[in-house]
Amino acid sequence: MGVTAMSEMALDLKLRKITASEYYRMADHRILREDERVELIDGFLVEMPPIGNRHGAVQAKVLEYLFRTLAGRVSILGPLSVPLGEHNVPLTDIGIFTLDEKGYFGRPPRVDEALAIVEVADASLNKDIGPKRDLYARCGVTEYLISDIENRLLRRYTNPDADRYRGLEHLRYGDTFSLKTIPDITLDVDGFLPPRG
Amino acid sequence: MRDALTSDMAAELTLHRISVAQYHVMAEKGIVAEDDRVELLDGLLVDMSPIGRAHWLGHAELMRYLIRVFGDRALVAGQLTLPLGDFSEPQPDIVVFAPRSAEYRRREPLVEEVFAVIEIADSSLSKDTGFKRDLYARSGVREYLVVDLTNELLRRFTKPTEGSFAQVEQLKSGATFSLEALTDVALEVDAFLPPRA
Repeated sequence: MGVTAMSEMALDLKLRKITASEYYRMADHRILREDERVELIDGFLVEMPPIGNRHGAVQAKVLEYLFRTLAGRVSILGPLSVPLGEHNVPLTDIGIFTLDEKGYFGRPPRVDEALAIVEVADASLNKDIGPKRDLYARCGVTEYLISDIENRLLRRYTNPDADRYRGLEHLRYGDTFSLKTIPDITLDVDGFLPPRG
Repeated sequence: MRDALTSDMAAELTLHRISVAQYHVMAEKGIVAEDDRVELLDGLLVDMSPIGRAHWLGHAELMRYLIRVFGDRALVAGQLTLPLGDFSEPQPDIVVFAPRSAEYRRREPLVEEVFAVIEIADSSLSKDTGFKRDLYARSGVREYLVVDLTNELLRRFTKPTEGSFAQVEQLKSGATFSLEALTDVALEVDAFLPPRA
């Protein structure tokens, strides 16, 4: 049975929503294993595609760049799960949070501590610019960046409102920008994309 | 905020399936409460429809009729969980089994021992004649009867072949039939339908 077919059939059903606390208990009891990469989106258990080579390499490059540029000013975590309200625990490639001296050891960061979320999109682009983008906007994540590997651009979403981001920019190699919450540090778009060429 | 899975979302998300074994751990650990009216269909946790008066009364009367006409020839059970493969454990309204109580004390009934699965459908008609019908057919349930309260008829599905029931009949008030597994016991369609006003 194909994956899409299942989702279409599932529309006929009233699926029971799973809460964030049930999701974490499922993880504690190994019903969800760490290597399974399952996230909770709007109460539904959703599978993440396996991390391909390109995705992994770009993710490592972005993390390295962020540590180099923002170290000491913020906490940089990734990959991580972020509890967002009662029915959402998305798995996120990289989160930039307000500086926590313990590096968020022993507790997950709260959404109001998120300065930006960065997703590296390869196979997952449609999900990252669809349901996940809307989710981050609804939860008030200030800034959402997608490193779009296929199209070689950085999609930057800002000004979240009730259910969407009002601001969207497409940034390319050579461009610079600053995070809304850290206006004094200039970031190079090249730091978020695969090496040129 | 979104309340249900929309087709846009479903197209982008791959739902994660839970196995019957994992579902049992969830029940054991109280992640799914015993009084939670859910069933596991194809790895998805599905809310069961609320039971209306027409439903429970029809259910009670039909149970009484089936127990009387089958006598020692079959076991008739209401609202039990029926494991079907690794990912499904539906709770059909009524299941008619081969009378092998001694065996069932030691193990779950096999699908070959199920003479018929019966669902009473009012608000759940599209689920019962859609997703659940396909699940029963794929699992090799040899006869599936849906009491269609809305249209006052009995929908009979038989001959499961390659994932669907090859034969579909709509039986109306006044008709008689026999289960494929018990051809010598005549059943009256009227016993399945609510009394005529």
